Amino acid sequence: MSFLRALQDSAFTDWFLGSDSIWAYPTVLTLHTVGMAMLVGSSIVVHLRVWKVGAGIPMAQFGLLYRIIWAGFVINLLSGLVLFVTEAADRVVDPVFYIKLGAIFAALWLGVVVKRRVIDTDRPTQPSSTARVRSLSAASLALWTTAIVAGRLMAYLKK
Amino acid sequence: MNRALVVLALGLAVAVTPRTVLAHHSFAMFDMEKNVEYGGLVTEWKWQNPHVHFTVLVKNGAPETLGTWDVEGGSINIMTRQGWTRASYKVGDTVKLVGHPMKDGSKGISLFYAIKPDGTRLYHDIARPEDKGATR
Amino acid sequence: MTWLWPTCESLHFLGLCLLIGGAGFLDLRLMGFFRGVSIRDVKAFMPWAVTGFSINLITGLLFVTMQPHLYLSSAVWWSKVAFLGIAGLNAVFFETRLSRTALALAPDAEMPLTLKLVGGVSLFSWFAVLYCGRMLPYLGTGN
Repeated sequence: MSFLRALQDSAFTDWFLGSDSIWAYPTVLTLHTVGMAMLVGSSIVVHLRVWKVGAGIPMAQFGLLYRIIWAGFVINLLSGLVLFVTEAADRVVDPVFYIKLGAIFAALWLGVVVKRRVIDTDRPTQPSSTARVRSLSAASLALWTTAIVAGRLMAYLKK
Repeated sequence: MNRALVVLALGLAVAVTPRTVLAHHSFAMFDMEKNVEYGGLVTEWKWQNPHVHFTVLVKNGAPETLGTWDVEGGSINIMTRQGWTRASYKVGDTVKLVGHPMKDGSKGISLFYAIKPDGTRLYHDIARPEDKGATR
Repeated sequence: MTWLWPTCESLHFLGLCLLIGGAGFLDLRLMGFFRGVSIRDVKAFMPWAVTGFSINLITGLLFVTMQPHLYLSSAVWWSKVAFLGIAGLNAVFFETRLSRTALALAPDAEMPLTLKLVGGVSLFSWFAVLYCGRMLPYLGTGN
C-alpha cells in the first residue's frame, strides 16, 4: 500500500497533474478515448458479425479488426497505467476500478474465445456461429458497456 | 446464463454507488442560477488536473455560507488562461469568491470567480454563466 | 435529475464506439483494407453507426441545452461542429454520388482514388470530432 501511496505522491504525479501543458494529462486522457474507440468499436463490429450482421463476410477476413483491437488495448493499457500511477492509492480501494478492470478483461477474454471458435476455425461449409457463441458475444458487448460506464463513474469518484 | 448474472451483478454494483462518495460534481448538481459570495480561509489547495480544488472555511458572513466548503474549479489549462497560477492561493490565505452552491444543500461550490484584494476578478473559465450579481 | 448529465456522458461514449466501429469499418474498406470483402456487406454495419450517431446527437443536444455557456463560447466546440459537418457532407457525397460505383466493384478490386479519399476524410473527421470533444475542458472551455 505504501508503494502505491509513494506513486500517487511522487514528483511525477505532481508534474503530470499539475502541468498546464496539453501534452500531459489532457493528451493521455484523449489517447485513452482513442484507444477505447479502437478497442470497443472494433469489438462491436466483430460481435455484430457473430450475430449475422454482414453475414456474407467470412469471419476469417476479420484479422485486421483484431489487430486494431489489440492496438487499442495496448494504447489504453499504457495510458491507463500512467493515469493509475497518479491515483494509485485511491484507486486500489475503489470498487468501481475493479469492476472496470474485471469487465475489460472478461470482455477481452470472451472476444478471444469467439475468435478461436469462429474465426480461427472458419470453414465455408460450416456455420459461422452457434447459439452458444452468440451468447458469448452478447455477454462481451454487455461487459464493454459495463466497463465504459464504470470508467465514466470513476471520474466522479476522484478525491 | 452465468455470464448474464455476472453482468447484471456488475451493473447493479455500479448503479448503487452512493452519491455521497462522489467528490467531483457534475455541473448538474450545482444550482447554476445562484451566485453566492463566500469569504474565508483556504484550508486545502489542490492545483491539479482535471479539476483545481480548494476548501474554504467560512466563519463570517451570511448564515447559509458558514462552514467548510469544497470549491471546484476547472482544468489547470483553462484556469491558467484566466490568470490563475499554482501560487494564486495557498493554505492559510484568505479568499473571497463567488460561486454556485450544490442544489442539495451539501457544502460544495462550483467556482464562478475569485475576487483579488484589488477587486479584480479571477474567473474560472472564459465560458461564463449569466452574471446576475452575487448574493452575500 | 442530477444523474442525467453523467448518464448522458456514458451514453455519449457508448454512441461513439458504435459510430466509429461501424463507420470506421466502411472507411477502412474504402481506403483499401479488408480486400476481398464486398462493400455491400460492409455497409450492413452502417445502421449501427447511424444508431451511435443518433445517440450522440441527442445526448450532445442535451449537453448544449443544459449548459449552453460551456459550448457556445468555445472555439474548440465549434471546431467539433465543423468536423461533424465535414464528416456529414462527406457521407452525403458518398451516398449520393459514389455509392453505386462502390457497390458495383468486385470485392477484390483495387479501390479507386476517390473512394480512398472519401474513406480517409471520413475516418480522420470522426477522430477529429472525438479529439475536439475530449479536449474541450482543456483546450477550450467546458466541463
